[in-house]
Amino acid sequence: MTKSLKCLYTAVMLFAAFVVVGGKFPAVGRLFLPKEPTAYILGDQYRMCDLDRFREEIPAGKPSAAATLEEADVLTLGDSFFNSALASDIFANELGRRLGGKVHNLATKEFFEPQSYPLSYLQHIGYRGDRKRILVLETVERSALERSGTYNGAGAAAGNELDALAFKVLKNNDVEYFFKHNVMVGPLESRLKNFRFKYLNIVDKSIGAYSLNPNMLFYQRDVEFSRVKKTDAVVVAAARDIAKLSATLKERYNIDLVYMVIPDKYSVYRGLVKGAPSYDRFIPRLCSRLTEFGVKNIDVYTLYERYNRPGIPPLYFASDTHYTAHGKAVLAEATANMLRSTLPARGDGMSTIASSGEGGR
Amino acid sequence: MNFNSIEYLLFVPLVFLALLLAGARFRWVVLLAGSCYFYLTLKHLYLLMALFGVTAVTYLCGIGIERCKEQRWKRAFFWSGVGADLLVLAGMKYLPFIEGNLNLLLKGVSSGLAVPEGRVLVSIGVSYFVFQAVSYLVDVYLEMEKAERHPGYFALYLAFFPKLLQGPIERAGDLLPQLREAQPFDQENIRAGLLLFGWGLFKKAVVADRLALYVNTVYGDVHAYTGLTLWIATYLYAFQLYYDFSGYTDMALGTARMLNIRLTQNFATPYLSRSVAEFWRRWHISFSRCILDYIFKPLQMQFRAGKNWGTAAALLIAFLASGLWHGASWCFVIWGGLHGIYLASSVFYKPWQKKMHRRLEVEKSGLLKVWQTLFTFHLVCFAWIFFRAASVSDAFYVVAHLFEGSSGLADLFAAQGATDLAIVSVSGVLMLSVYLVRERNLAQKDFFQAPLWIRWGVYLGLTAGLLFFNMDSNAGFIYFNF
Repeated sequence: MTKSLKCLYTAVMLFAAFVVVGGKFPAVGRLFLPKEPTAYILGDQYRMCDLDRFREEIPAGKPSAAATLEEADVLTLGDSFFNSALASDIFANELGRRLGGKVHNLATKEFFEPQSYPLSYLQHIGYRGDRKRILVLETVERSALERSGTYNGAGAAAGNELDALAFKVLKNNDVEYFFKHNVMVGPLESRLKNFRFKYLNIVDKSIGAYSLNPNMLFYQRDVEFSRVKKTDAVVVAAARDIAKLSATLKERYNIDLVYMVIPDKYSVYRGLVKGAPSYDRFIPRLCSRLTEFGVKNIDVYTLYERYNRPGIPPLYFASDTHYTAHGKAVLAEATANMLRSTLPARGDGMSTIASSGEGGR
Repeated sequence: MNFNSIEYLLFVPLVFLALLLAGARFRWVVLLAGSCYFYLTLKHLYLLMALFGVTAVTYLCGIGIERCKEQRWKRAFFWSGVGADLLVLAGMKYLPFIEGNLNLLLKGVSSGLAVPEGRVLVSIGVSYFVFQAVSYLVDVYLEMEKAERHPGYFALYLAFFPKLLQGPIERAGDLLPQLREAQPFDQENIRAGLLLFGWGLFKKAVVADRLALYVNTVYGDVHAYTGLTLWIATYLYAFQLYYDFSGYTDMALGTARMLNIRLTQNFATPYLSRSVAEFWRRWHISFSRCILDYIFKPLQMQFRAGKNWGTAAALLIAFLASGLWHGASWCFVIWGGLHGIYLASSVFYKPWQKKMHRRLEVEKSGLLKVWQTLFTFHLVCFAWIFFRAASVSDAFYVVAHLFEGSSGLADLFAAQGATDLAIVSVSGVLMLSVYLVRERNLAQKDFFQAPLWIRWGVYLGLTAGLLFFNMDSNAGFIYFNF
């Protein structure tokens, strides 16, 4: 083997080792990643596809002090829609302000995906149902079917070191991210992606569809989920699982469940994508089944449909999977109205909430 | 971990680095550990446990068969091993299918009874390593191979990562001796392996994944399309499947070659076959060899009294089994059955066909060759309809509407745009040129002796093609499902 080839092979092997170390150990990786802006946030979809055309600077929200679990009447639990503070406060605080009551967001890093295993999570934190509370449980649409199957199952505490280690060793998204974004490959990758988009219309695999007028990116998993056939049997099975969760929460923890599925951006704005099939109305269908099973719910799709008109600010960021401050506000308002109208007044341990609602069932 | 992922492109150099550090003596340890990690990245621990179980049982039974002097004990070990291996396969792959059909049957007779349906398990790779384990036991039982005494080499024989998920299905006599050899690096093999890997990646990421755009659109909702659109989608699927699977195989062979191991070639321009029998000698070669040796031949021996009818029955059963091996669904059974019928009927008409060609003096006619190739291709494509369709009813819809108009055709091509079509067409011409070069016996060896500018032209062209035209879809391979 010639000396130059030996050098080349050695360089490739060492580079692979460098990428794995950089990806698996953030302290090392951060040294070789470009500095993150502090004044604004770049949308998650933009960060994946790196297309200059879709770059938007999203103001970083400032989460206010949250209510503690003890003082809260309403609890929220959900995925990144409930936990993120893009351009506004987190959902729990937005809701609390509208209700004039204390709302606590159940989010913890000590448990893997608490939003997928609420029962197991409540048991993990030693929750006692000594007084009546409301739990607003949220899921993003693409995960709704999967999660309905896990709600009544056992999750895992993140404290389990073996699980954490297995997770770290086997899941290599971090390595892939570091490979694509480190200071050596990142600029080349970005130029290549922009070139491929401009001349060949090829976008990153994480983007399932996009619109150029107006600019909007759609997450691949959202587009994939839209293609999954959701038969009535599937919807009924999901609703039954959620109803079972609702009954168990009531019986075991004295909690009233309010359930909501936040539509994927693609469900709301698919009209912008040429040739996109019409929406299968999964959320309204699920909500009507939930109502039949006696589970309180908010049909967020129908609610958002009313606001999806020209001249009204967008409900989702163009380069991010999440809702805008406006989308969050609309949902918080509808949730507050629904809680006011459907839940009993003070006397059984709840805050005084009374009024009429919008979007709720 | 997909071969077309960044994860894998980093994993392979790291395996090399580990081999370099560990030295030749521990080569099998590094490769086995790497293979286990590779399999674990699918994030289903039970897959690794199944692999471990099959490895342990097959290893012990192999030694048992060899050590026993009495035939009945040999037979007992043989059937215990085969039974246990097949039980793992059935449990992981076929149980939900059996339960589902049993329940349909019970519902049909209004018995009010029902079999509880279990969880559907992911069974990626299981069919392959179980088939390989069974083939090993047969070879040891028939004294064609000696039982492997080294548990590490044997485990690596089943688990070797380049062929673990999608084959090729390797015979013990071909692979085990290579695993025992201790030469970690060879410049020629690294170069040839890299080229083969790159070529396979090009087939998958540039061609197959792009064809998938059209095929998935149509086969995802067949009822929206008719006639010509269904023909085109089926033709495109034939090529998508070929480029996907042969691309995977090239990547598997390329990776193994870099590690100084030569795996079995799985494809030899199958769509240029002039009969279905020839197609099966050129498509998924390692698998059809196994079907021929382990199912067809024993059955043919069993049915030999029936002469042509016996052979036809053996072919039909062998191909029904082949269909079932691909998946627990009636679509695959029908697909296998169709190939069984093609081949079984050829047993009867072949002698007449030959006579007729001789009488008409067209035996060596180019036109006949073209006709036979086209006819075989269409027979294969017809069967692919059942292979690809989401359900039997979808498949019958496609068959029933093949000659009705062409609805959805304009939308199909409008949705994908001209760029993809151009890339697919140019790639098709490129592939054809490569095959023509190969057909003229210009081996890879000759390529490496070509002038520098030709070699580097190919390397750079391939790299540029991959960088600019790959679909970036990270889509799984079709045969992962089998």
